[in-house]
Amino acid sequence: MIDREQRLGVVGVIVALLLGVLCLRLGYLQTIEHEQLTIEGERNFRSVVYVAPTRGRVLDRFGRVLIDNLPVNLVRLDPGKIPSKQRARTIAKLAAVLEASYADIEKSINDPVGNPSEPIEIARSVKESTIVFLNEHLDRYPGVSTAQTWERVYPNGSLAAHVLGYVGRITTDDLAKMSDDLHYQPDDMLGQSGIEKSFERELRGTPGKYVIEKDSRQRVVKREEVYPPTPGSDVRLTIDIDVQRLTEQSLARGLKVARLNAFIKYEGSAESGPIKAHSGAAVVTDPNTGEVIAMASYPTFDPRNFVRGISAKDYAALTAPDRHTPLINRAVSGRYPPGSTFKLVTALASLETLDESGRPLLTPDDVFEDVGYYEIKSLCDDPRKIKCRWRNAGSSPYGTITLRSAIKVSSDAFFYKLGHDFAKSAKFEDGIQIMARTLGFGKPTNVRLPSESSGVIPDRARLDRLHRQYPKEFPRTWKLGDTINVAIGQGDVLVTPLQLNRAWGALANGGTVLDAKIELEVRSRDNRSTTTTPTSTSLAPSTTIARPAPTVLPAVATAAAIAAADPNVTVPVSTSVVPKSIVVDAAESIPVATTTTLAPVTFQPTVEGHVDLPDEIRSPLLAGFQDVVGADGGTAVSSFAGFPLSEYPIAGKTGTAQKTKEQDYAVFVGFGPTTAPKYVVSVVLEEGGYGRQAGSVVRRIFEGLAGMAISDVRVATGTLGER
Amino acid sequence: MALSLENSFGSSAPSISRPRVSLRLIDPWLVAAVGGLCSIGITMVYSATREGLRQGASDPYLFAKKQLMFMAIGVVVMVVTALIDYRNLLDLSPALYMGSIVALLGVFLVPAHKGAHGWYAIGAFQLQPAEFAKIVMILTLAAYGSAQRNELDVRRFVLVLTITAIPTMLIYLQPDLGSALVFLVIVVVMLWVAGAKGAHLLGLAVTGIVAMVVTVKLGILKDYQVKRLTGFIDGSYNVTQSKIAIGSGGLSGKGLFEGTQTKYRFLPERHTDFIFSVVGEQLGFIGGFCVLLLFALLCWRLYRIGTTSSDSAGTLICGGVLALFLFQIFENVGMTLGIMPVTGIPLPFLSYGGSSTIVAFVAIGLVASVRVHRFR
Repeated sequence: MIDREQRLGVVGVIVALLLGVLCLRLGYLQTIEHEQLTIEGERNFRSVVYVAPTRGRVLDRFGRVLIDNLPVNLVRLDPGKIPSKQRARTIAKLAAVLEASYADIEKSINDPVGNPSEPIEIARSVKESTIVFLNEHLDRYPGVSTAQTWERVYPNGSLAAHVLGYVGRITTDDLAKMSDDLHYQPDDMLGQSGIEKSFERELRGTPGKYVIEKDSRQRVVKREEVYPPTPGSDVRLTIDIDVQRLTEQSLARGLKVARLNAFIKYEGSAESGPIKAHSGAAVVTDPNTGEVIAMASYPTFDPRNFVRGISAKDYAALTAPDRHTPLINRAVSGRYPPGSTFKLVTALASLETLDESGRPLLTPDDVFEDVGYYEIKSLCDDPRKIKCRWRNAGSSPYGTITLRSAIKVSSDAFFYKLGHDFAKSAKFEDGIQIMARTLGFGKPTNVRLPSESSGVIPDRARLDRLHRQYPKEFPRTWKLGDTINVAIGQGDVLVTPLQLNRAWGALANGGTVLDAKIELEVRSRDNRSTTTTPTSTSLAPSTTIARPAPTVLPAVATAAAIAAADPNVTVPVSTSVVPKSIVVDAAESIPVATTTTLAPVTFQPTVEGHVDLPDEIRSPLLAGFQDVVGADGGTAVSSFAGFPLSEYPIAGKTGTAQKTKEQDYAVFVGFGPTTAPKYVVSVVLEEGGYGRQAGSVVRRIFEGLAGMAISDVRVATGTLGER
Repeated sequence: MALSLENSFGSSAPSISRPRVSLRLIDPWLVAAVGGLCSIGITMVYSATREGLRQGASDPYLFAKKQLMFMAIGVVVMVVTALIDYRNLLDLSPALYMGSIVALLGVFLVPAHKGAHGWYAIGAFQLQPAEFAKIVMILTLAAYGSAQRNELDVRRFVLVLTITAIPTMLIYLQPDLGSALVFLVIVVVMLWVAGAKGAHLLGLAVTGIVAMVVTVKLGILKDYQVKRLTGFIDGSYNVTQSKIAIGSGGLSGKGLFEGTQTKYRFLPERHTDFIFSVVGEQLGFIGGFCVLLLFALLCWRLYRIGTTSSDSAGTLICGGVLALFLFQIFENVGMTLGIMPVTGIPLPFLSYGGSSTIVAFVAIGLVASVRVHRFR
């Protein structure tokens, strides 16, 4: 007989055991695993999204709009919300409403761009009437939603394209590089160049933070605002739209005119033929403050092409070397041999360097016999037949000259001799280079633009180091001839156009080397200035948080220089101030948004350094540089023929810089009016042939700045003796 | 007040005396356990389905109402079953057995629904013969087992296995692996209670394991079946969501009708197979423990009634019902806790479903009948 009750008891024990197991497991999940599983659960439905705010605008110095935002309508589609049976019909209906093709919509669904937390964008810039229609009939279009976003618009077209830069949709690479706390989202716009890039943080604003809850069908159940987006701040630039247009037009015109001329082959130069003059840069700055009033680079591009994304083919064209890389801002990224414009540096170095006997290497009254070349006798006697003679361009002899006339005619022999004086001395062999750095060469101007080059000031230490590191690329060490070449701005000296403005600005303002400045202020949308530069709406300097002013400023002769000595420079602008009237080609001028009320901005220019410019040094230099444009035999006289120099005196220097296997580069730097310098203008024309071709561009710009009619000056090739 | 009813089967079973039975003899603890479970069940079904119904613009009480109706039918059927003397049912078991085989064969003639044969559609309802076959199996085994006085020898053991193997195979072929496993467990437990030798059961277990390994190795089980069975180890979507629901419920739960796993429908099969996860999320450990406690109470009563029954048949019926509930509880709750494979077995009295609910009540009715008719 079996005891079935006992056997059932065994089953009962098993029951108890198994229920016990369940209890333990339940308790384990709900206590020990509770926290972890709660987090996993939150991940199911809760997500944090950051919504990009409206990007800030970019304004010119008078508040005129350079970059604005245009609201655009989007149509989005969540394909998961279309019942599968209705899919084809819904898409076909949508295509009809949006005036798109079925294939287009399928393509956007299958290859979505943008933020994955939003439905897929299937149409952009949709007509208002279509949006209204869709919103009224959303029940007929399952999964469809409408939204609004902004796009960059450029009221002035491609004006100042290189300064402004462009925005593009952030790439996955960029996204990965961004710090997490900036909360970039996959369809955010990111400044890719120019102001858009360097002021990305200010222009972008702070994204709004939202917590959204979605159910398992991706339906948004709840949307909670943690904080709203803060719109990006407006960036007000130092650029003056009118001067910018003038500068760009003058540069383009100057290149075109230069191309009408022939380049005459000479010893050591590239092939002759028409001047190529394919690209160039022009910069207008205020020597008293370092403000960039205009900055042009040629060839240029149209930032509007980037608004909706640019095709790979178009982008390739904008970066192709054989099309002269239109995207590059040559004013800050171009590295050019300064040629004879560098003689300012050599002259200053010679005037201010004392030899062993305590006398300067050069005084303004020293005379020199220019026989068309400079020769070092001892080297000519050397049996190794090394170079011992350095020629003027075209070997032109200028006879008995002083510093002033040497500048006027751009005698190389004179400056070769000065270079040799430095080269001979072990003590101050680098004197020219030291002066160059004092004037800011070889160092960035700290303008807030991306990809600024520092240029190159070569010296013995640098070349010897490179030779040790890369013996193949740099097969030799420094020699005497290198210093001689540096003296006339050749021999690997490379500068940016903006650096030329800075250095020449120092001569203009009495000796203060100022960093370049492109932004006046950063204004949040509630009109409070948030610029990092100490600012004040008050004109009284005492209320301004000022950095320590340079303690010793050299004696200065000009009013402008006195202004530079004032640590706080006020740019007085208001609605009552109408921008200077400048004669420009009316055909290209576009109506600009009205000026907003602007408070005067006070800021302290950043002083990079200064150079002693007592009157006995500055005057003869200034006289020489004025002779360049105004005296018989001056290298740029033809460029400035007919310019009313007595009313608006200008000082400047041509440069005709050699580059291996290329036509000579045309360079000109000038400032004016010399009585109270307001503007420094530098122009570089790549393969522009002759410095005076650049000079004629500067002339046009000054005509515009002075409010004169702009002449169509055409300088001929002339003789070779002019550099 | 004593509600007295005549045994309705009395006339068809003249050999049996007609004792007066009273509903007062129904076990109050058993009623309390079932009542408690049903109350929790109906609330959870409502909680699990209302959001989805609302979004579909349907009556949020739709499923709760239907489940309430199933329960009402279940209670009626349970009472009727309780009033029938189980011994009469034992006599009917050969006919019931044959009937269930026919019903199980018949489903193969009905077009497959969701890839499986297992339902007869009767109006809006689906009848699952497999559910009812469980009851028939219990009765058949009880009838056969109670006829044996001593331990089962090999011949009888194999005979019982053969009898049970036929419906089990048919259910397995539907395919409904979960229900087939329920059958296996009922058979093993009832064989044990009926007096099978330990060695025989051990042999059966070894054979089973070997067979399982062979079927998996030979690829007789479809890939998805293997995956479902092993899914709980690496965590399938269903199990992951269930564990999140239960774990995030914590000690006291997120509150009735609260909880994002249920509300936002991350939890699959919320009102049927994964109803316990809803309990875990909304009522926490306290709620889950209460449910398990009610099941423990239920099992304890099944055991007590089994041990106090007047004959072996009663004990065997209680053993079978105990096995039925135990396996369903352990498998279902274990699945939601991630320690058992996903097999689609409902949780008695909690999961939404007509056939399973009614059959659970019938099973309780059988046990009640054992108690009600304990005095011969």
